[in-house]
Amino acid sequence: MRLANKIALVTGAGSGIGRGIAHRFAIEGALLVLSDIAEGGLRETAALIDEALAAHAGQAEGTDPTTDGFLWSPWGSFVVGDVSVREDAERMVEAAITRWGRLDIVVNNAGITGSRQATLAHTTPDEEWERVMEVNVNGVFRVASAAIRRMLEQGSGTIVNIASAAGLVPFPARAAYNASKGAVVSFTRALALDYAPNHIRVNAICPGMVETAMTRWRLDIPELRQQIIDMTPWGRIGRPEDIASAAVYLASDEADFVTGHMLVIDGGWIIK
Amino acid sequence: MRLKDKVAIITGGGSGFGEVTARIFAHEGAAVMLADINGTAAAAVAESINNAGGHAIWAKTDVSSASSVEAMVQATLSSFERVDILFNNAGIESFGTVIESDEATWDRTFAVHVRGAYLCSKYVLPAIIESGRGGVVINVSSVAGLVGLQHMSAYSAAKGAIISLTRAMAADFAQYGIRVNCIAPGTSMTPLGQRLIENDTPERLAQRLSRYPLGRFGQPEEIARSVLFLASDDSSYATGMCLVVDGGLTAV
Repeated sequence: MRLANKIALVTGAGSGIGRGIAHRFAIEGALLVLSDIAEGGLRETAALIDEALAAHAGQAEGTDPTTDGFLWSPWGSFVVGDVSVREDAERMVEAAITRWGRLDIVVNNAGITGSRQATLAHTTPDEEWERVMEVNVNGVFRVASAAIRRMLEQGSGTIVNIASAAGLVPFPARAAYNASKGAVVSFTRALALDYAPNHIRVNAICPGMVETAMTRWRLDIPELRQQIIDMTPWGRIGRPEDIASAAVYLASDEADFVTGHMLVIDGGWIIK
Repeated sequence: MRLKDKVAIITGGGSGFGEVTARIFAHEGAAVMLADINGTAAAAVAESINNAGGHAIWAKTDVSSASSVEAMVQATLSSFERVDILFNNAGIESFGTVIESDEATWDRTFAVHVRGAYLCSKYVLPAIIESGRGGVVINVSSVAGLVGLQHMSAYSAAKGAIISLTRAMAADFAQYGIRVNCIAPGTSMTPLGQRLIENDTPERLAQRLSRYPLGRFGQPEEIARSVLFLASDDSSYATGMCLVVDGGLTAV
């Protein structure tokens, strides 16, 4: 197990890539705090992890839906909250400290693409632009800043931000999303620079198109799906598992000499 | 075991990154071919892996020679009947500005790094394609291929070429299920890295070290772990990319 007894916070863990990361981290032995803006998704993720751990480790005791507010699990705690709200971000970090006494890994995964209105810059309403920035950029800042305060006290820690290949090469007609992910790329490098002396590694994963609830509205349009596959040398859409295994690498001690890196997991999208 | 039943060719497998990677690959279940111009070194590593219960063979190989590479690939197929992973790791150091570099040094640097990666790929890839199982190529670039470092012009140019070659190969061979990526290590404590450090004046060494945000040079194990990530299914959706393992040097 590559993350045995590491304490990890995963935001946006109620669906998609975040769920995939939480699932894989649990199998690799991490103890988790999972956060999401929606409780229903966290319950589903918890059930999935219970099942996986029972299969992998024969662990019988699973998540109890009735205790500790709304969910309690031997392998994790749960926070319903919005990463872009300061108090919620602090609660996510505090949940790790209260339950496990420390916080080794933060995966800033919570993010949104914006509505279908948020496409071209000249048709994007201000409030759509702001909402995308609020979650994708400010949310990463709020959780990271809360976590780094703890990591500085501990003298160690690592952060994995889920940016996007769109932060390096734009996806067509996603102006706000592209800009927000570019900001995450720059913010990741800034954190890596500032906290390297404190033994806090900060990296980002830049996924290409990954099939999740967030992207399905586009992938369900057959022509659009084919267009995306045609633009991907590897010839398929990404899966949450593809990103989860990369997150394990960056979060583990195997990546001890890696900081400030943009780990591109995109089936070759950006080389085209 | 993350490379169970895989066969890996590791050029420059007799020392440095190649040796450490070979040991880790063998530990993860792969059979390894150690190709090295220093046959004695490769044989010693192979023996040590076999004594530890692994499966290793070796071949004295000059990666800049087509006939030498072809023979090495044939030997791999004869022994292991397949190839899944090619780690194009063989490399040499070279120093100097363009004014200081002589033509022989320039040509030799490109022959080992670039022609070597080209020739090994040329002779290994047909076997992978024919198998229909797909495979993985990992090339070795360097931070010198990404940013401007002093007194390393030929080395930097060759390592820059490796990044472009990686992207081109990724585009060409994705259709066969072959992922092609590269690593870009910073200065690491390998024999080559040690020579590089010894070649520095104290001032230049201090300056070199000061550029690493993590405040130290890398360890070969740290590079080898990144190669394992790229060689295994953990990087199942990564191709054409460059994994930078440099303590933050090029990020800032």
